[in-house]
Amino acid sequence: MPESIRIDRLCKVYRSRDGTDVEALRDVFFTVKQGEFVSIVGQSGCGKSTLLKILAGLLPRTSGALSIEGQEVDGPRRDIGIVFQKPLLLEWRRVLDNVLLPVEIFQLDRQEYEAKALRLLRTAGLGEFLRKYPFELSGGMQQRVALCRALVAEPSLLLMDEPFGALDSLTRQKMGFELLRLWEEWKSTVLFVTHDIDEAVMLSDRVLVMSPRPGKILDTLEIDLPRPREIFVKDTAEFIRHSSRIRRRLWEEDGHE
Amino acid sequence: MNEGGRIGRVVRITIFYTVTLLVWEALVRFLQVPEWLFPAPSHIIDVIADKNSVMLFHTLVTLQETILGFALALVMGILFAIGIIHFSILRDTLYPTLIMFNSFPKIAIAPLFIIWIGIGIESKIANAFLVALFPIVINMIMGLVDMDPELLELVRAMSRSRWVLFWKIRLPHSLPYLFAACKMAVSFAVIGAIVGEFISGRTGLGYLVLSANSQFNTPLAFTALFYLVLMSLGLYGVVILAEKLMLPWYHREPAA
Ligand SMILES: Nc1ncnc2c1ncn2[C@@H]1O[C@H](COP(=O)(O)OP(=O)(O)O)[C@@H](O)[C@H]1O
Ligand SMILES: [Mg+2]
Repeated sequence: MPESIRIDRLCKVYRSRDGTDVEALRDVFFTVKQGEFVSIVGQSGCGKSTLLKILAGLLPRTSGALSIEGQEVDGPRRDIGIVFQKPLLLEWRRVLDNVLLPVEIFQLDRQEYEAKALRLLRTAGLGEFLRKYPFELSGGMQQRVALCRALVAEPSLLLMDEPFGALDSLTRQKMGFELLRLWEEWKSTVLFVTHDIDEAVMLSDRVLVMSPRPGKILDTLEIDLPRPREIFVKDTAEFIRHSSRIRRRLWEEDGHE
Repeated sequence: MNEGGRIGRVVRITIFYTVTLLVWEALVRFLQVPEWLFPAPSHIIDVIADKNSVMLFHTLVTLQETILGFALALVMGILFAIGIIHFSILRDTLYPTLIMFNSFPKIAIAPLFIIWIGIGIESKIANAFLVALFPIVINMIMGLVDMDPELLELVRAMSRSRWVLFWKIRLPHSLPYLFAACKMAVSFAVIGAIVGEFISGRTGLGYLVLSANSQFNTPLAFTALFYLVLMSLGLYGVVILAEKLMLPWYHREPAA
């Protein structure tokens, strides 16, 4: 299968105002195949957001090579959708108009994409909330709107930075399965950043384990659990084997033996 | 608030003001306070009824000065703010000048306006404009820039166009800030107009208060103040109403 993301010896050093350098990423390399669901797990501060922002063209890299769908990354592009931890909805727009923001910015055909937005929102269980303002929705619903907004322009790559990090654990689990449902339908590549090991194993085809700062990839796990995934997968020996291996890798790397 | 709570509030407010007026009336009569010192409410109500058309004329003059000064401040304030956030040359020149001016009692310039633009309505409009301008510019700038940096990143990942950012994000985001400023600025504009009339007016409520005072016609001065209160409340109400209509999406966290 062709590659969606190729990252080769990527380094990132932040130069602070007081002249001290913060090395956020060191020699990161991995590839992601088209249509693959890949998670990056690591403790907070290890450079996960930095990596995603470089991929989104929001931050310059210090060295290394980086391409998406075979093209060098240099600035904004249409084929990426982003979801952050906060929903970041526009408070003055109703749900449907929030989802259509990328369509307006990219100047796509409104009618065609409105039908698409409606379909996404219905799939996400928001069919009855199209005319609501963000303040009328719960946190989980707001995040689902943000997800629909990220998907509406049919990106080939979806970047998610701890998208369910602000939700309670039950809502979070539910959202994970909803994401999988949408993903199975809309088939884009997903790069999913989290610090929740179980979440990563539950959702992904592959999990990349990242070391504390400066971030590098410590380990890669193929998760060949059957799809569509169900909640009970968590109790299988295989799931537990994967998650305990990740836990151990992160624990050792933290200086424990 | 539920319906019962609202009715209860209206009743309490009505009782409070009725009692206040009655106590005032009783004290003035009982202590035989002379009318030039502190007139009774009944006396003021007589003057209000008697001088209705004259009062209306002066109120309209002041209202006109206030609205024109405020409207000018609104337009200029918005344009200044947009200019300042987009052009570094304005950020380095106009912005510090405005900030400097803001900490200065602007009303002190009022006498100079008479020299520059005469004793007509223009100098009162200029006063109202000057005091109303600052809250609008300063709040508008805040509204255009003070947002979640991640929201800006989200948009920047789609487009680098300043045009897109301005129309789709910055401008709508600034509206609540603008309305907060307008509530302040509209009261400031009334002050500006009144001070202008104090200095060189031949008409208007400010002029009326001053001339009534000089004749020890205190009931007339009170009547002018009464109209001034009505006018200010009316203007404030219009701003609140416009906010309600234009920002149905705006939702303050309810105060704890
Ligand atoms: N703009 C910045 N300037 C300097 N250092 C930064 C900046 N942004 C992030 N960092 C540092 O880089 C490291 C990685 O940050 P980040 O990518 O946000 O980590 P994560 O998302 O994994 O929690 C952290 O130590 C953080 O303090
Ligand atoms: Mg992060």
